[in-house]
Amino acid sequence: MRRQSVILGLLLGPVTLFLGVFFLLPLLIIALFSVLTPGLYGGVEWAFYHWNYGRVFGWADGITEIYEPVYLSILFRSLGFAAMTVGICLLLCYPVAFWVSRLPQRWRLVFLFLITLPFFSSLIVRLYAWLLILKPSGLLNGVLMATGLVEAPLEILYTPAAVVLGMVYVMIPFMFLPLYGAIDNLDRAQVEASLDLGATRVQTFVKVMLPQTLPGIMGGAVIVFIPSVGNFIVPDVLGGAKGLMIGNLVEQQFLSARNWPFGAALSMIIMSVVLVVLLTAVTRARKRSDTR
Amino acid sequence: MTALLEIRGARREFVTPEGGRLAALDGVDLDVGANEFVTLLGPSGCGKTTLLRAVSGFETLDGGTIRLDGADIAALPPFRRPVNTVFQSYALFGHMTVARNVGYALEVQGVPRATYEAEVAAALEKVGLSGLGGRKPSQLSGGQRQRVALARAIIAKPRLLLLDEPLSALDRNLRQQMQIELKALQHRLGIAFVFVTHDQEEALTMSDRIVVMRAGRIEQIGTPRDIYRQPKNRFVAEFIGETNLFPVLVERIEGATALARTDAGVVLAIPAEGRRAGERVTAILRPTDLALAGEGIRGTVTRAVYLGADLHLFVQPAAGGPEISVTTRDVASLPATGETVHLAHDPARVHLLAEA
Amino acid sequence: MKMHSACVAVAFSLVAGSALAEGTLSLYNWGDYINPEVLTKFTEETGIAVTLDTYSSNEEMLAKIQAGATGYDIVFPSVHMNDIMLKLGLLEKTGINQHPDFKNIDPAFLRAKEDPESEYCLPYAWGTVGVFYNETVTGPVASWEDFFAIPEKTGGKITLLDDMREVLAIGLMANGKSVNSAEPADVQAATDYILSKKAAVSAFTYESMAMLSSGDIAAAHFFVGGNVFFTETPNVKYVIPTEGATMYQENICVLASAPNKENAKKFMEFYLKPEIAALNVAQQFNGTPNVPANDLTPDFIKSNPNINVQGDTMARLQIFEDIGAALKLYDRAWNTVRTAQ
Repeated sequence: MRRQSVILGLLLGPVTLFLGVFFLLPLLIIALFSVLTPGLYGGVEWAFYHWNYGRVFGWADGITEIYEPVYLSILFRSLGFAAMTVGICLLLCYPVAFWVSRLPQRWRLVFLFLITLPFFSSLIVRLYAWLLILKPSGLLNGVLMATGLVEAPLEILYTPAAVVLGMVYVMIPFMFLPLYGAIDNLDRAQVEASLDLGATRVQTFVKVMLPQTLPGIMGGAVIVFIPSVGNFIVPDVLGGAKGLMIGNLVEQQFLSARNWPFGAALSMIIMSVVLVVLLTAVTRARKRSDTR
Repeated sequence: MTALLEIRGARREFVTPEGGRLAALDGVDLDVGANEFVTLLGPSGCGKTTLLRAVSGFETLDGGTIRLDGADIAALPPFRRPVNTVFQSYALFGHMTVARNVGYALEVQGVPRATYEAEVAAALEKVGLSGLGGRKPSQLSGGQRQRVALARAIIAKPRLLLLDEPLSALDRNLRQQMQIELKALQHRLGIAFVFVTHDQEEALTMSDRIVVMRAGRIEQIGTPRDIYRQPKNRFVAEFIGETNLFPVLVERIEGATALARTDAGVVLAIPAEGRRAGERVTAILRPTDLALAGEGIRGTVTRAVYLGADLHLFVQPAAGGPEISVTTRDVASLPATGETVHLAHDPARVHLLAEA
Repeated sequence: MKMHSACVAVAFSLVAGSALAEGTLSLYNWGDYINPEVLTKFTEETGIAVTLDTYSSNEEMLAKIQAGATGYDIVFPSVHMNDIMLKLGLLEKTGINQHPDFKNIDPAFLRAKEDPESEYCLPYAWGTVGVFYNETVTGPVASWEDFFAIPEKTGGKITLLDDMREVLAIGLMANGKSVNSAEPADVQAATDYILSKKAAVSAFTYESMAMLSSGDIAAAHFFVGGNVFFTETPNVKYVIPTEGATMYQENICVLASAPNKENAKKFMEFYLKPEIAALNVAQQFNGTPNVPANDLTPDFIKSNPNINVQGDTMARLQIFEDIGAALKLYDRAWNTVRTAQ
């Protein structure tokens, strides 16, 4: 018995250590910092301080810390952008994934390779490439004007549209791959069975294909949603830093406001909100697919 | 009376990976009556599944017509055809309960809740699955899934039920039991079944008529007895049951019987009607048509297989030529391997093919 | 100077090979803030291999050092950050003021309050943050008011730096206040000023120089170093606005945690040479505290009053100081500016 538990401990040791070092420990540090007093020049002072949260949620002393609803509105704005990114990625990827899954094996591999190609270069470089494409004298406007489709250059750069475009661009591979996995595994026979039983194509899609590919949809949505909420580079580069995202706010606390605890508190808040949103979405989706 | 299903000149070509063309259906004509159990039988690649899918609407024909109750359905999408299918893999909806699977055809029609529930309960009852409606397909055995697939396909009362090798995944005992149940169910429902299989035993057990197919063409259509006793050609003869084929030369006519001889020298008595001396034909003798006797074809037992009720022998004729296969109940004299035996047969049981 | 493409570590590997290697030196500097030729020369002269890592704000550098980043020998903090780092005990005393060449340094640049004698750090370079404008599009620009009026008047676009204190400093200067004011009312007024101009601003960005040369924007708030892109384009001009502008000065400091303190000191001494400081200016368009170096800089730099700043213009310049806890005021103001629609 004793011997067994020792062996079990040895077997589980590396996994525990891995999770502890790479997941739990950083999380604990953030959680701890979020309730400490900000040091004047960055870092923390080891005294309990709850106003990092109070500033966001509505209690503050009004002197050193002031409650401002702006933080929550920035959070909701970021959640909105992330949700929009998820939605657009989904709408774009679903039909394409379907199409790709029907290609001959060789072309499928080529396509999957192309989808992962952006990962080979830096995100920053790719975003600056978009900047060059979207700017008034850029490639897009050059083509549009040369073909006579527009008279004056379209103002896309430094607008919310550019931010959404950039986010969708960055996140599409993360949506595509899980979605493709699910659609590729889709049981064609079940689709045929549904049509055979008199369901129209739309009914078949809603009642059979969608529920069957739901794990892929949820997987893609989660993987896209999480980094989208915290993304600050895209709004900075393509949005001209005019709209503040929650990720900007966190970055700012560490890189210009020198307020680590507040940055940590904001991070904890993002994590909790994302967790709640995702759990709600997943449970709802699961429940819906069970009932008629 | 017109047939329920009427297929004329059905053609379908596929392009092979090498760029060649392959005719999956090469001019198929077939009628199925309103309450008939028709089996499409043939080796894989013979076109039987393609024909079935053309009826259900998942294959488009390159030529020919398909009529159901006199109406051309070739242009209708699958969901508009009054035809349902039991798929080979069952294709049950894994994310739905058994009851919802069964009721699916009604659900998509928007049948009122009360009717829906009564019909689902009735369908489950019909296939002996009452009480399992709340389970997921993954919680059922293979045989139970088979029944769910069946219940699901009949709930909308199709005029025609298509079954695509539905028993191939079941073990032997269950398969035999399901064969009987399927036939009984077809009787009870009074609808036509078109059943695809490559298993000749299955075809013989259940069918009103069997359609033997090869390479996109129909070789023969007939009752199981016709097909077994009167195969039209060597392919049908060899495909259905075990067969001894003797290409022979007719030597002389002796009243109702003629004597014929294989090239190796085995002599057979065959029906004389329509025969003339010097003619080349192929004589067909099923293993059950041969018996051990004091005289007849002489040969040596090369292998004896004891099958319980039957004894199966392989006999090498002394005159030469291929081994002859014999099934006999005559277990009183159990021959040993290497023993010399004589094989006798009733000339009237010999079926002749004009081809040599 | 702040670039998202930071963290691009540029390694100046020794051409002479390892046989001559006299150890290494690791610099942690702002992006594009040193002439690579300076480093090459240093390696040629001393045999010390130099690696360069970059940061995009004082706070980023401080956060990294505080979080325990090791391996860096020299950092280039702005003066107020120099003070903070001294208070936090992060810097090493070098005694660079004892070196004979230290007489080259103009004492006016010994600005660090915590290090008035330059016992620790060496004044490195200084510069101004003003307005670049494409005169063909905008016409003459002399003030911040002119700058913010460009979009309405000409349809040309303008950008500000994506930097909290630089942007709010414009508001403070427009109201005649100190850029280091800790008065909530001053900061509020500055915020209101910027908010009233926000609609005119296309973006807060550091990528304005390329956009200015391609004609996508008409004017930009940027560092004097941007002049390097416009030596061949006389229509793009640089001006220090009449309301005032900020100036910056960075010092060369050795970290207390530096693994190669001797090599770091050699680098400081090397940089005291007028020809080396001048070499840096020729590529950076900065000012240098090294007096004899000023005579060695190219004529087009020497003769431009907006680059080689003199008397009355100098009086309009303000330098950022550490404002301690008042930073929170600016943080809040900046959030307001950036979230306003």
